[in-house]
Amino acid sequence: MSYNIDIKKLSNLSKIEVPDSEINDTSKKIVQIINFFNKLDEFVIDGQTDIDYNNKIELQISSLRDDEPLIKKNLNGDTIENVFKFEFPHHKNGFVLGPRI
Amino acid sequence: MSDLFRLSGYEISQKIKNQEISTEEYINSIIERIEKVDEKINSFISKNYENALRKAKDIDKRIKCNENIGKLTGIPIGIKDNIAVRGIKNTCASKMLSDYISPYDASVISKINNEDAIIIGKLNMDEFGMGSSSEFSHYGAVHNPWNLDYVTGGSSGGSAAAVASMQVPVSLGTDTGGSIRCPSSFCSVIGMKPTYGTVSRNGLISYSNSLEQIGPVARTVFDLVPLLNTIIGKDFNDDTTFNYKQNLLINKIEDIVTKRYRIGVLQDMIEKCDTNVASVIYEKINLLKNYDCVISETNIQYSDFALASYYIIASAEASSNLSRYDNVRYGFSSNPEGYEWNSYFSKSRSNFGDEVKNRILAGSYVLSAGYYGKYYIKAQQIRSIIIKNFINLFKNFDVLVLPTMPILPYKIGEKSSNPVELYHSDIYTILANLAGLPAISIPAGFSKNGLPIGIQFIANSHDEQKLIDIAMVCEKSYTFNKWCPEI
Repeated sequence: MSYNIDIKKLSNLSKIEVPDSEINDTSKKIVQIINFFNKLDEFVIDGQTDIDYNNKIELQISSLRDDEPLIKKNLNGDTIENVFKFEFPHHKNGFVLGPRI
Repeated sequence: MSDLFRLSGYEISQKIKNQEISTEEYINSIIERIEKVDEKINSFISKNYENALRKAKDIDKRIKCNENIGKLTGIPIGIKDNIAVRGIKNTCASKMLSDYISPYDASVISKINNEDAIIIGKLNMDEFGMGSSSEFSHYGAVHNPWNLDYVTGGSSGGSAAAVASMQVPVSLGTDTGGSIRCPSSFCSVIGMKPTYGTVSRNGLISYSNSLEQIGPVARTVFDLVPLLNTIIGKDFNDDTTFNYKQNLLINKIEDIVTKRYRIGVLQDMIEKCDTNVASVIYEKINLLKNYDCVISETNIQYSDFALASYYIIASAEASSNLSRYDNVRYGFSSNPEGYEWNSYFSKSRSNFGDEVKNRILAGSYVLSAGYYGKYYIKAQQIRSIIIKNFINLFKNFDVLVLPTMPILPYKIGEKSSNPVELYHSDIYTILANLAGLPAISIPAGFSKNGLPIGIQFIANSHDEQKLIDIAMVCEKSYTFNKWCPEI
């Protein structure tokens, strides 16, 4: 089965710019992938194949830890430990630069 | 002393502890080896020589002062470039993260450091772990040490190639759909994907959370087991890890034989392989009979649907995970000032490689409102059925055996233009990821033209010991640990 996929709409949803020169090639590859996914159409659901979350290994064994805040503060409200310091690529006057919203 | 790089990590660690050689001397020989060999292989993205030598000197000092030292003392380890190591570039082989330096250590890195291993560098891979050939890297393809024109397999191609070419005795990789086992098979080394939840994923730059695991790559079981024992265990920064810690052992062959392991041969899968692969796999299965293993044929139902289900789930999770890369919090140098948000966001993300973009687009498609039930829910239903199949199989078998890869390594560039053709090469490795099971790829032999072939064993969850035992039998019976490429 062949699918006609609106690659512009899909790239907009995915927030990935696809230049006009690459639309045909990208579209061809995505159609190949979706046709491959359509293999699942041959699988008939018999009504007894609900997702069984108990099969997930981690839930059988793991217990949830207590929720502890990663960032700790002193009495003045200042952060005192466990804080990662990120190096933002672009900043100005102490602010991180970002695009307009 | 120039051949020190040929020794296993276990042998080296003993020599260092006994003060037969110094750690500094050994690390210098490893650096020399990497500088000589890696220009042909391209397995390293970042090198960590300065810190490695500093740590080597510190270890030597502590040994002289009779202070406590760890069980991985002096062993140099290469780390796949999607695992965070503080202060070193963490690129995931992507232009998107080409300038990103990790501000913290992944939990596995802290554990390795605590045992006095030495991180020698970060290893090449398919961008964000998406690929089966290690060709989709911003830093260029990794070359197979057995034949430089061929792929290493992926996505942990750098991890396997660095070990096979004796640049490091051990490395860490990650396995989302066979990313440790595939390159281990193509490069003739051992690679293990542990049970999901055995090893913490804290600090792993995630692509598909429900499928991936960190695991070791080595040339010998004697190096694989200590590294695995170091990284497994509960981590409070990763709630998918579980509460008990296994202590895996390297058992004697006489003890392994008494266990009379029941081995299920996935016959259909072997017969669908390249004939070179099938004949080597049958030869090694027959060899296991000499060790009192009970061999019988079996199969897995619905495995035909597993591959599509795997790629639907992985693409869906990838599209969600990679939405964080907006080039503001981390990314490459591209000033956002003056841009409108959506256009800047989309333009920056167009710098992902082609395969990553394909998977994000496909993931967005299968998660979109009209198709969610048709693809994602159905894939999860099939995943449940496959897990149930495995649960039933392991009532009758201790381990299952099948080829790691259905094909031989292929030439670089030969298959990279057709994504679906590449996906089909993962057909035997994705099963363990869908079911969260432990699996190991062990070197099995070579094709007529000298390309490596791997044999894969899958065990029930938390049965890593059975896989180690089988690997030990293979190592003792045909000494694959002595196989090494001429570079």
